[in-house]
Amino acid sequence: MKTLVKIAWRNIWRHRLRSLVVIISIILGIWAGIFVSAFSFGLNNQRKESMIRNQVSHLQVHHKAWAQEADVSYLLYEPDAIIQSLLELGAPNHTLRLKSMGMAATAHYSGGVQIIGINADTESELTGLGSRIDSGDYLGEKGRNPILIGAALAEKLEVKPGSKVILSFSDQDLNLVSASFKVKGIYHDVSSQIEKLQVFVRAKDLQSLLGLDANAYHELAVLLDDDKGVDALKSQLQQKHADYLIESWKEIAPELAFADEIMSQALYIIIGIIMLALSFGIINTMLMAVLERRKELGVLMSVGMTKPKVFTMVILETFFLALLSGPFGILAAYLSVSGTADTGLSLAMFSDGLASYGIGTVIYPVLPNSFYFGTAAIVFIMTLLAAIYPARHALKLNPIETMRTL
Amino acid sequence: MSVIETKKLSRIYQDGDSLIHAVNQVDLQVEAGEFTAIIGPSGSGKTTLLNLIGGLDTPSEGTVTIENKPIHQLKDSELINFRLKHIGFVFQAYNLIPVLSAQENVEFIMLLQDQSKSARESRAKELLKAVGLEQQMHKRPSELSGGQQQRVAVARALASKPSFVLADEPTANLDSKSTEDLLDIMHRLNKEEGITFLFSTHDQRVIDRAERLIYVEDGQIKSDEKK
Ligand SMILES: Nc1ncnc2c1ncn2[C@@H]1O[C@H](COP(=O)(O)OP(=O)(O)O)[C@@H](O)[C@H]1O
Ligand SMILES: [Mg+2]
Repeated sequence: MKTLVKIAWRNIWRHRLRSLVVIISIILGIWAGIFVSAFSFGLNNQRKESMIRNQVSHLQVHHKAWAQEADVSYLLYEPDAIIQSLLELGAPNHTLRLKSMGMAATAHYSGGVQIIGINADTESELTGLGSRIDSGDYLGEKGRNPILIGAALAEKLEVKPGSKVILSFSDQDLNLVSASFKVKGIYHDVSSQIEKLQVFVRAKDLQSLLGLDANAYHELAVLLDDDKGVDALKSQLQQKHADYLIESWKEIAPELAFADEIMSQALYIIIGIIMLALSFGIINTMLMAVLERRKELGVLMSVGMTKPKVFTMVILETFFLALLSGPFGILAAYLSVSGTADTGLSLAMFSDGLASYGIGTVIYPVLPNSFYFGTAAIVFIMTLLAAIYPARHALKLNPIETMRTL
Repeated sequence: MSVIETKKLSRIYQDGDSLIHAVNQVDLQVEAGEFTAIIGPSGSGKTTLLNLIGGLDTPSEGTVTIENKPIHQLKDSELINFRLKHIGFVFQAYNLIPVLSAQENVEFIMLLQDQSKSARESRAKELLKAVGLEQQMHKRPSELSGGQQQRVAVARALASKPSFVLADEPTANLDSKSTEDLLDIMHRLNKEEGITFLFSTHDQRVIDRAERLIYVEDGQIKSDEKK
């Protein structure tokens, strides 16, 4: 076996250039495959992160019936009790909201909107809304009925800070309420859909217009430091407050959680396809190596080298090609992923397109470590498959035939 | 007891509609210690005969007995082992593994027989010395001349201490000096070590050195003379 390994190893270097071409192409293929994967993972993660931070939060608490119908009357019974529990469970970062569907109108345009009554300070701490004001100011204590409008909607309504907007909605007794609001600021969101849909007012203004008392809220949003504790917190909270609807971001926006799984499946498929293409290169090279050595192999078999040994030798040669390339490809990919993971890759050129997907302009490639092992496994399996055909070809050689033309 | 004995040995090839009797009813005996050449024009069946005797090819008819063992009855796997133990081969070319040194090439045969490292090493050195290549032991075939390569091939053929050595036109690619050297070595091994050689050739220089000449034509033995 040791000698077979030695022969196989040296055989690779009989055609230095040819072997190097295969080795380098495998390195490049793996590197590109993994790096593209890390990029896509990064993109997806950032989209998820930004959706969670700006929109969904990690947990949301609602009235039990809220999921069926977002009715004004489905209020949180005792928001203070839940908040108390949150503090005890070490998740202090939250905000309360009031929500109502309605119409926003100016002389130029009117359209359906979701009116969200917020507590300006905690809301901004949680979602960073205050830092997303393009023009004008964030909501404050001063002024009568201030409102924040998304940039996309502002364009349609043709309003700017200082303009008036009429909001109409029904109160909890189904009476139509109309009120004039003064645009305080224009916010932007990664999603222009959101910009068109959501308008923000002070919770207390909305409470009084809806005829609700000062502690009436529909929604409690909770943000954690990261994604890890979400499920645990959810079940702890649910135990204490069985009569509330408590949902994690995975339930509120299942498409975000889904994307993770689909992404890694799709990326494995891409790596598989790259390796498939590369294995044709391997097959071709090894077949050439076997065919041009027919006579040598014929002599070897004649003098007593058994078929399993010939087979093993060709398989070993193929594996050496993979061994000389796979680890380097993976290493190169690992280095370039970790090298760009902190600084990120700037995509300023394409940022407009990306913004509508909820992504910033700098992408930070990331990849679960398992993906490197998965890739290594794919390379291993593909190499094995690629090795079999040339090795079988070597087995089928008839020693006498190969030597007849000696 | 003959080392090699064939009875009514035939090998028939199908070539389209016609049958080629490459070897036709050959009765042959080779005794231990012989230095025998099979001669005849190209296409007369020398290679086929040697292949049959060496167990590389299967007879269409007849028998091949090597040291009382009817090898035409052996299974493929048994045959490989039998060849490895009892028969040394030297071919016209491509004898050596290009990526192994002369010594490693000689050892390779013994490795296939699972001999110990020390046994392999000392035997390889001894054999390479016997063929006059102790200085070239660590060179690869590409660094050796054609004649030197064939001498390594002879050393390798002897590595497993075979009953006899089959050599199919071993000098076909050699110049006259190398041919003389190789023949000297084979002859000396024959005389001093008692190694049996059966080789084919159509090279007059080789014919002159042989001690028994078997002349074949159309797959049949036409004459058989001892000098
Ligand atoms: N595999 C084969 N198929 C068909 N004909 C063959 C085959 N091998 C040898 N022959 C024929 O058998 C005859 C003897 O060939 P060979 O033994 O190679 O002769 P030599 O070695 O004396 O030149 C030739 O006519 C050759 O064409
Ligand atoms: Mg011949």
